[in-house]
Amino acid sequence: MATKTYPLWRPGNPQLRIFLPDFYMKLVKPERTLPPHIVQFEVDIRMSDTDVKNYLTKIYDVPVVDVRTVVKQGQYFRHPLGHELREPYKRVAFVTLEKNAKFSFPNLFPAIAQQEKKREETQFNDMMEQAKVQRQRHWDRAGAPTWFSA
Amino acid sequence: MRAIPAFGHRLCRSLLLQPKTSHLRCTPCRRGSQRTLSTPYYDPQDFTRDRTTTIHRSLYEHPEDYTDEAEYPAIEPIKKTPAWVRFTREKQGRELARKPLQEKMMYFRFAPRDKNVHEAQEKWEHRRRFWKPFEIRGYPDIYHLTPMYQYLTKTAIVSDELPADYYAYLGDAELTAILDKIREPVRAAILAESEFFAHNTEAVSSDADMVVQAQSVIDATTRAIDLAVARSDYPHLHELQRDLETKCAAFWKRSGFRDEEQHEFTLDRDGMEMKLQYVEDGHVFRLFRHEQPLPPVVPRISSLVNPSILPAPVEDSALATQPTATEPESTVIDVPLENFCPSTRGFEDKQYLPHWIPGFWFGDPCEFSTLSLTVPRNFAAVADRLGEEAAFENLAASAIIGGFGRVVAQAMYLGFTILNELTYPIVTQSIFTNGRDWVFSTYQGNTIALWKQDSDNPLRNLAWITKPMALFEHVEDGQVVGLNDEVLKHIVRQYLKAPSAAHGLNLRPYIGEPAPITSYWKEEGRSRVPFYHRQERADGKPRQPYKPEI
Repeated sequence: MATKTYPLWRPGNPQLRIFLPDFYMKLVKPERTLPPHIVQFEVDIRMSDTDVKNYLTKIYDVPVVDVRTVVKQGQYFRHPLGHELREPYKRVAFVTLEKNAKFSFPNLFPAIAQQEKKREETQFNDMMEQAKVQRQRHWDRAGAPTWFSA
Repeated sequence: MRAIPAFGHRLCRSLLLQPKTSHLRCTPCRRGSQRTLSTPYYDPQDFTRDRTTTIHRSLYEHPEDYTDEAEYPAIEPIKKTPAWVRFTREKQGRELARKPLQEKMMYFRFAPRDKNVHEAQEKWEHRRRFWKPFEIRGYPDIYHLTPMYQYLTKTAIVSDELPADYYAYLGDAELTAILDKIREPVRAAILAESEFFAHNTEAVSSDADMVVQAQSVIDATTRAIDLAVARSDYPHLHELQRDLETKCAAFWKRSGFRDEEQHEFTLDRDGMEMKLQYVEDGHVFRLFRHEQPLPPVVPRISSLVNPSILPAPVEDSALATQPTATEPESTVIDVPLENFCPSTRGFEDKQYLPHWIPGFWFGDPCEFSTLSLTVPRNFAAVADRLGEEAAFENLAASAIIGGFGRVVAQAMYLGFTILNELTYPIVTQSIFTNGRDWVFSTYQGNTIALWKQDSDNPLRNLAWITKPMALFEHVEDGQVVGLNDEVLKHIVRQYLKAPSAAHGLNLRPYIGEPAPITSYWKEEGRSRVPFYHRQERADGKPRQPYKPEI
């Protein structure tokens, strides 16, 4: 924490000067498809709409038009020792940009996606190889369905 | 010592076991330990039936069982398919067509699957938790709503000007004469309420001030036009019903939304359509209604032009470059595909009973609203939050949703439902103002069956919405500066537009002759004398006369 207490934003001047914000905002992939000019963040539960707007406009110079936040309930889960616990509540911010702005969630791990694709390919090739070996082994039953043979 | 009950734990002394329901069954498969209370059933003819002879069922033996023309039952599509949804909806529409309004509304409220409305009504208390249409407000503080409202209502915006041909009934000379008469009263009304605008021409300090100012300007303008024109020239002015402060509400379903699997309560599970409830309260300041509908702006069939349904363009580049006469510009107009869930824009699903309020009570002869004047009370708040430009854009959005909502609600009272499609276009005009800036719109409702997939329903609704125009610039030294005649012209044109139905057009095709009125006591089972007045008891024996005890 850069400040001891939460720096609540109040209208009017002079404004509080913040050189290092206490919070961070996490850009998340939305569950429901959002219009291209709306972006979803997970933010600290103490942040207000104004905080979110200031964060994006002052630090990153993002053209924010409107901010709407909702608090998402934490899910219950069972602790390995047996007792029930609840996840902490989260605040989700939907940030509306100017209507011509277009945002699409980036592919963060292209290498992993590439690996997955490669793994599937190799799996498929292996299966084809095995099938080929089986066909060669049972050359005398070529074309017969497997019900008649192994 | 505790007394042991002799056979309290047993029903019968002779039975060692407690009798169960399985003992009462006359099943041939009993276990050895089971004892039955009744004799198992045997078919008495099972052994005596003569099975040596066959039973003849031929054409010659039973000619009455055969026909020349075979009649097969209707082929129903496979369940839970789009074809089945279409099939059932059409069937429901046919059932609904001749019902009175109240039953039509009940039908949509209480689960169409249930034949018995009263039974369904009992289930409603449970069901209402899972019946959550999205609440659509007329003028919300949400940024850039126009494309989404266009998709919700399947409306194409034709142009940002009113249709010139539609309002060509008023000549220039006549219009100028009317303007000369109304300019002074309007100016006086602005001055009378100018206390606010005289002090501050730019900022809006109080919402209430602005609303009152707008309302008084509206009233003064309509009154001035009433006085300026001859009633014999515009006889419909006599016949108009003028409403103050009306509500509007409409319910419909829209197909084709994304992420269907994520919506539990807002979707109709049969056809996967979004349930939408439009609610407008406190913004519509004046509403004018007439017995006859406004004439259509363009014929209904012209809105059939849908690029997705037209044949694909020719691939040959030489042919494609040639301009063809059969390709008018209007084909470009289409509804934007903004099929995101309304919750992503901040709309909420609420436990609403689906309801339709066109702004008048059922039974009113004037069922077609010609013009509505709306003063959004939260205009200043929206402008403060989103900026003035976005606030003006939302006026266009509310013109779309307001026009469509009014068309749906009216259509319901005229006998149409979302399952019984409109047979003629319904046109309404609406004006939105904050006193100084005015937005005019003409809305033509061609279709209300939005539950259909867009590929099945080529019809679209059409809207003509102007840009916001300032009636005056500001007030200075007791003078109105920059009174804009164009705004006054638009008001006069829309207000004086005469409604007229095409000759021979049946305005209420789904409303038949009203049922003959019969006495309540003449109905089946009503004429019986109540039991306490009957001479005989329910068992047929005479009542006992009253005997004093002493």
